[in-house]
Amino acid sequence: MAVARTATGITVNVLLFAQLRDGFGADELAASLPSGATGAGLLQWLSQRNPKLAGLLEVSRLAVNCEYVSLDHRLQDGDEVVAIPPVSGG
Amino acid sequence: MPYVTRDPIEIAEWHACAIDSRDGASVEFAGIVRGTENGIPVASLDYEAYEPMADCLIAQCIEEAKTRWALHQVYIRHRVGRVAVGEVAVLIGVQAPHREDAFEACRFLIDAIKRDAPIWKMAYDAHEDVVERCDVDKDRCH
Repeated sequence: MAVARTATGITVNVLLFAQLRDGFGADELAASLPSGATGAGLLQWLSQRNPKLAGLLEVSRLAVNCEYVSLDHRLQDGDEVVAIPPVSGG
Repeated sequence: MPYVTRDPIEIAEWHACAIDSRDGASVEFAGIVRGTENGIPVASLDYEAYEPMADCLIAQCIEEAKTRWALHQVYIRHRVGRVAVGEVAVLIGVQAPHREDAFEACRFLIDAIKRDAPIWKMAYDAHEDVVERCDVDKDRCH
């Protein structure tokens, strides 16, 4: 019996800043990922969506609830994830 | 507490903070917009931030600094929006009983903000053309 993959997937809202926003031409994206997807999985999803940004995504960090998360952090359905390219404050 | 602000940073506001009688050292770091980046004339920098996280992260840095050094007063402001050459983009003020703690904590705070705060800048020349997006090659922009 076929079960739609999306039925077991999750959707996260990705906020984009600086070069990533410029590169994607959007300040947010909805990412549909398999259940149990990690930060690394989200970065891969973003790279597949725009392969030109793969190099930048490799040096970008992710944050959930205003805290940086590691690449193996498991994302939850409905998470708001911030994609943070190399910063240059100060 | 908003540490990230669109308004000009008034160093006088930090200087007006009451000095705790236990403190004998006051150190401040002001990051000022330079007129050149990589030899190219710059008229202004445009800072953007993910403000909720930047505020939160700066608050965490202050908490960490207070656990590592004896500090009684910490003042931090970071601009967003357009900041002209010569204006203050970031100000860190620290008061402590002794100078070692004040210097080390101030250094820790500016380094932590530059490393981790979700803040980005673009350099513009006098014709409003983009000179450089400073996060492309951040080493050249500091």
